[in-house]
Amino acid sequence: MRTMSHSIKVLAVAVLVWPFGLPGVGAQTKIDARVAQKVKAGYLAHIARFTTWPKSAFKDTKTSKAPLVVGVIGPDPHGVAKAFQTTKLKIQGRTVVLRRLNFVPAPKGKPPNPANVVARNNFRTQLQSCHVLFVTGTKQGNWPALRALIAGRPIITVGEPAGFANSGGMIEFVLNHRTGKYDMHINLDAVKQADLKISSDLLRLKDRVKIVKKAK
Amino acid sequence: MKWSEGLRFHTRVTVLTMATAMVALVLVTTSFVAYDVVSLRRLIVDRLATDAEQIGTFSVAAIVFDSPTEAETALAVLEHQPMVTAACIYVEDGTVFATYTKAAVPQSFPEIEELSHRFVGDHVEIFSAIRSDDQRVGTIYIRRELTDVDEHVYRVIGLAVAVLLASLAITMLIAARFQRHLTRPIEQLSQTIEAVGAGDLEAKVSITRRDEIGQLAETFNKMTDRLKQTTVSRDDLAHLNEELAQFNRMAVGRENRMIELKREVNSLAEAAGQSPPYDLSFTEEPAQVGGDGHDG
Repeated sequence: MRTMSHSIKVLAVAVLVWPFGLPGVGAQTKIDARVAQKVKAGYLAHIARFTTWPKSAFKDTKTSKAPLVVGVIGPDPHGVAKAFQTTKLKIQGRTVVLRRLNFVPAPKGKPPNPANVVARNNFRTQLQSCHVLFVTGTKQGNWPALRALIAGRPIITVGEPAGFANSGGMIEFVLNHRTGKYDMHINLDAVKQADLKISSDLLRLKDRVKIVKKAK
Repeated sequence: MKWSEGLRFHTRVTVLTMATAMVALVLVTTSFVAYDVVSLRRLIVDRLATDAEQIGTFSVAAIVFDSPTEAETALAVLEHQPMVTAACIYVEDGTVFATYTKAAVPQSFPEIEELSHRFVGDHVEIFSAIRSDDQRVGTIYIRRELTDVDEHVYRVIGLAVAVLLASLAITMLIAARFQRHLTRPIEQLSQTIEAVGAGDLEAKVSITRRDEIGQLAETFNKMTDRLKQTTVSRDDLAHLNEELAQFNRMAVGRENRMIELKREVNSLAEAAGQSPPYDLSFTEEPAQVGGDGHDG
């Protein structure tokens, strides 16, 4: 009985302390997540700086007036898209446009609903006009379907889902728990297939970059 | 200048030539040494700026993707420059991101500066922005010691002093020869003037140069000639004057004798009871004005 009473007291203290203790932990997590999104957004811009697109990737072949389009697709609870500041941002002399994309599945039914077809076509056009595509979220979700839509197009794909680089993605952000930094796993075959080039300056960062040999 | 008043002319010429040469040589050597030092410093700063730019370009990926190890690898190329003792890369907020220090030379790193470079005592520091596209992602700092520059400066100054002394020696030789050429005719002129002053009008200056000294000698010779001519004319005049005076003396003597003879004739005539035949009243003393009692 005494033991039970003691347990109740401990529980009561724990319940009393919980509202003060956990918000601290929660806030820490929140701040970390915000910092993480900022880091990822920064990495995204810098990856674009170290990438070379074929001339055909931009509508203008001589001038550099056509903007560089960065698409963000997937769940984004911590706001990586928000952290990606495009104001005054210039990459390779081009202004940057951020495009938040929502996946539209292929319309089903025979004949398919025309509205769905239009929505799908619009989505595909917007997706295929991106130069950088950032796939958020820890799960692959719609990635295989997205990959099929952009196959062979000069779009550098960067993603958070586990195994992204091993499943046709080009650059995968992988949290290194030892250093607390985001390492990059790079699938060079996928990069090459998309007629893109990534600067050796980036590939040289041995402690931050891991080259994934085979595209799957 | 009072101090030079007691000096001989050729000494003055030598002193003047040497002083002029000295001033010119000191100015020239000082200018060359200063130019050399400035050029060398400029060269060092340019070289550091190039190194900083190359390391900066090489480090951009390391900075933006947070890889201090790779940034330090980039900085390690400075090992090939023995005078560079410290370098570091600052990130945007000014914190030190990666460092390089020469073995056994512990260094502290200064606060980030916006200036491009500065010479501080025995070393030079350079700060250079690291950019990715137009965005500044960091700053590189390199510190280079200047002991080799000091050694170079001492060598150049030593060489300059040697050249200065050699030039002065050559100048002295040239000046000695030049002053002899300049002062010899003046001394000759001076000696001739002394001779003419002593009455030797035959003395001539034998200078055939066409410069101002030659003109002076020619003018002096002409002047001596004219002086000689003037002196000869004066002697002739004096001689003629003497002859005239002698003739005059003879004429007056004869006239006096004639008067004496006439006076004797008049005396003889008076003694013979005749009237004197010659009027010699003009020989009488004129009547004294005021009559002081003197009768002839």
